[in-house]
Amino acid sequence: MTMTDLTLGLALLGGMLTLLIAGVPIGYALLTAGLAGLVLTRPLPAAEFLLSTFAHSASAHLAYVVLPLFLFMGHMCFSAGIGHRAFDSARVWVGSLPGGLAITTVFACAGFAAVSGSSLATSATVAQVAVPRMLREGYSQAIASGTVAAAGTLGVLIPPSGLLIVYAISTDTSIVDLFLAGIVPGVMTALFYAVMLFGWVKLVPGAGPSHSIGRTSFRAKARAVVESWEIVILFLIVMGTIYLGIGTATEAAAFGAAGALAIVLFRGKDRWRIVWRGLIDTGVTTSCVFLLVIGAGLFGLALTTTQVPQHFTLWLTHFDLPVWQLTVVLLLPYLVLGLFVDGITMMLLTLPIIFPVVQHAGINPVLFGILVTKCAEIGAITPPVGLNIFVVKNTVPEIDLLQAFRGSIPFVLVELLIIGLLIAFNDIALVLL
Amino acid sequence: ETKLVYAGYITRSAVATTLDEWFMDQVEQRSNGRITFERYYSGALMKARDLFPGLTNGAVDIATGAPMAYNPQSYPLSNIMMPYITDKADAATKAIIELYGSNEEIKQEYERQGIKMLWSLAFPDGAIWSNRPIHEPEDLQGVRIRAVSGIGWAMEKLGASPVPMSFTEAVEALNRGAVDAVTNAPFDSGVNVGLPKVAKYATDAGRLGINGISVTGINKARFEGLPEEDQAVILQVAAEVPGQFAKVVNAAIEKAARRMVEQGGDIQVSVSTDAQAAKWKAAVADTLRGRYIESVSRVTKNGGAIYDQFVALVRKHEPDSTYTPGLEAYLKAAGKQ
Amino acid sequence: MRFRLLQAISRFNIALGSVSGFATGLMMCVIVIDVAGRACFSSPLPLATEISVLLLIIKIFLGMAGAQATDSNFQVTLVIDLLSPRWRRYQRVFSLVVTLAAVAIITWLSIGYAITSTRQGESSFGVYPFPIWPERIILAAGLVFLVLQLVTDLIVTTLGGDEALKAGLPKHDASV
Ligand code: NA
Ligand code: NA
Repeated sequence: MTMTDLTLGLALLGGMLTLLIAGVPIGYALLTAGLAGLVLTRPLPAAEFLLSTFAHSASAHLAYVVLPLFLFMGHMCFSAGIGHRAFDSARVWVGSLPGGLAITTVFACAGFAAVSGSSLATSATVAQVAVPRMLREGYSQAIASGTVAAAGTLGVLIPPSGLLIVYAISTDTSIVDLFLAGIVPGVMTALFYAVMLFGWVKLVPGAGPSHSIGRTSFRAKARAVVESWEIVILFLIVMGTIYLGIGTATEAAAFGAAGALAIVLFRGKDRWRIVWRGLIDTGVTTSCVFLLVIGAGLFGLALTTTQVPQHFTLWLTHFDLPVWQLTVVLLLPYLVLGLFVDGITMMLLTLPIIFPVVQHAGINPVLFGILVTKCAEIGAITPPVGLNIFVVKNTVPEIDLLQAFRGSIPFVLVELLIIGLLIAFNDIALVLL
Repeated sequence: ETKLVYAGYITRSAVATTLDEWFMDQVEQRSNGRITFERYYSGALMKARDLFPGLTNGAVDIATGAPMAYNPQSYPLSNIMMPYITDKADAATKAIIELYGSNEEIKQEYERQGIKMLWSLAFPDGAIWSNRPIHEPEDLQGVRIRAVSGIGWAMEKLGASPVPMSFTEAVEALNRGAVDAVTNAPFDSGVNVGLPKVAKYATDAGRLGINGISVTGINKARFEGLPEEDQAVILQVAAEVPGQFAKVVNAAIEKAARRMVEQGGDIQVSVSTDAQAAKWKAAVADTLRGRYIESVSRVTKNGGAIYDQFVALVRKHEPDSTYTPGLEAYLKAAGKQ
Repeated sequence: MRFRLLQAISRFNIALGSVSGFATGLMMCVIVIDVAGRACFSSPLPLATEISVLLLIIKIFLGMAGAQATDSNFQVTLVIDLLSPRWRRYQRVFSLVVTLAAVAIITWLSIGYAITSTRQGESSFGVYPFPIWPERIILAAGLVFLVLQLVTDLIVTTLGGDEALKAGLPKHDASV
């Protein structure tokens, strides 16, 4: 690689970061840097051609249709109050344990995650019911907001998942495999959280009620399952369609969206306004995400033409690290970036450089996707930019941000433990494939 | 000193790309480093649809693609490699190159786009990978099959429902049973993406055979702007590529066949007898020829003549073929034949 | 309200975004019908794939101007949150100028390619031919509206009426 290529590549990265910090919306910053890069590395007609065709070739793929469909499905579930019912059902099952309300919150989030692809929506929706109740029943602000923010991140691990879709898009990895690989780690995370919360209320005085309260009958538990039928049905529609071979991921998404729409329409109240609003919000979000996808693609292309990613791969292979060590090294940037930016941005910014290394080193791309998602989850609950914490604060304004971030510390530790386990025992993620 | 930008959309391991690499290495060597290549494989610079327009535009200097499949409006005549013509990749390659050399109308298709065609290669032969046995044309009734282009036409004619999904999605769809069968993959890429692990049956479907070609072209203005000695080197090496093809493609098929033996498990493979193959061909040959003539009618009335000329060229080269179709190679490697 | 015309542009772009929203519903219908046809009658909807992609293009590009009008795009606000309102305005002008320059260039080139593509009748070829050129036109049109919105935002911000303008528009959240 020539010195000028390296300089150019670094200049591109630097310029892009400057624009980001200067508050240029991320998608536009990527577009601008990518455009500048192509103009500098290619002859003018070549740059012109690439710029004139890129937006289309970066977005016109059938596989990408899943994103708006799952967004719409999540939106319908949100509007239909499914989050509240998930909470009520979970409460009947685990509410009587010490720390029961917090554990209930975790499983309510896991349940809502099974029908929504968004971590923010999961946090927001469960926070509405869970946080006020926890505060009323004597939980500390830290535990109440930390729990709902952290458990909300299950939204992007348990399928469907917007983040996994974006990972699939930018690395050409199978969406179905990623979804299947998210299930076991997702359930495991929920269980670990529950155990941790149990310990927390037992060990830390004032964290929350540490005694069991009256048990519910088996009959009530059975009824609770029946009452959360919407979640069960929608999850079965989506994962069943994929697993039983009725259709592909795209088709499963369409079924899920149709199912969620049907639920909203049967609920009656205000239904057309809800659907209308859902369609518009889905449209806006899709445009925003794809602006990012297109921008990141163009930036990645410009970076490729400077040969920087190719040489980064070569350089890293010189160290001849064992796969697990390399995996850890590759995850570090995500933990750092996660402090400042959201999951999608983080993926789209880094994957053009990191993913070639993943492929070259023979790291399982599906596993890596799950690991990066885990890092994104951590990023969502760490300061200074912790979107899930912000969402909880938005929903329940009396929460103190500092307390909330303090409350997320134990969850971050659990996340790190799980990441370690996933690296040590790949099968936890890959067993269903 | 000349740096040429090369871009392709086909994976690094495919035969066409292997030969592109061989070509570029040779040119770099024989020009004593006067010519070098900046290489982008697997669509890293441009996606399949943009490759040939990009070549016309000068956005790349050399490209390997399938313009007849991705830019059919500009390259209708090139879509001549219909299934059920032959299952000999080397004969198909020789025939297609001879056709391009001798048929003014096809040559014009590239000239008009400012492209000098360097060579064209047949993709290895295809098969139908399925979840249910398919021996006779009648077995295709109602089968949901991933198929595009000419095979799509043939499958439709035989009563199947062609579904034009992307190839990667198709493997998954077959695995989960969302489609009953998958076709259109050259044998080696089919094995590489794991179709033998996913499918219960594989058949040559009455020797549907070769059904696609790749074309490698150079931007004409760029080429003509090169010093004459450089032009000479490029033409010299380009002329040797088809000769290299037989060797490389046979090795690729053998390797894929061995890999299929290792991973195929209990997949049931069937290849057609001459009589069976004749029956399949009779069922679709006229349809395919007719669809070709129809699809080129916008640009020429000579569709039928071009098609017949191509088939005659294939027949001329078939006797010298050393190519073993994929599933036959598998049966040999597995000791079943 | 000093910026009646400019606000009308914003409102138009947001309305255009709802067309993009409707594409989701259509997409869902197309796919469900296709699968139902394939599963029950072994006859998939012809061109379902191609139509879905067309709808996706409509969705993405006709929604972009609306996303800009409602300031929904993802942004790193860590540093700009620290700025005073006055510097915040300078920052926004800078951001809009940079964005406008880049997007205008890409829009210009995309228009050119849409014309080329339309002239050639660019199409794809699965089992049946399907025109691609309408997608190129929709894409270019969406970008033109985006440029228009960026110009609108730039004028309004420069003249200091930004908050008044945005206050009159609906709010959206883009989050995944
Ligand atoms: Na989810
Ligand atoms: Na963070």
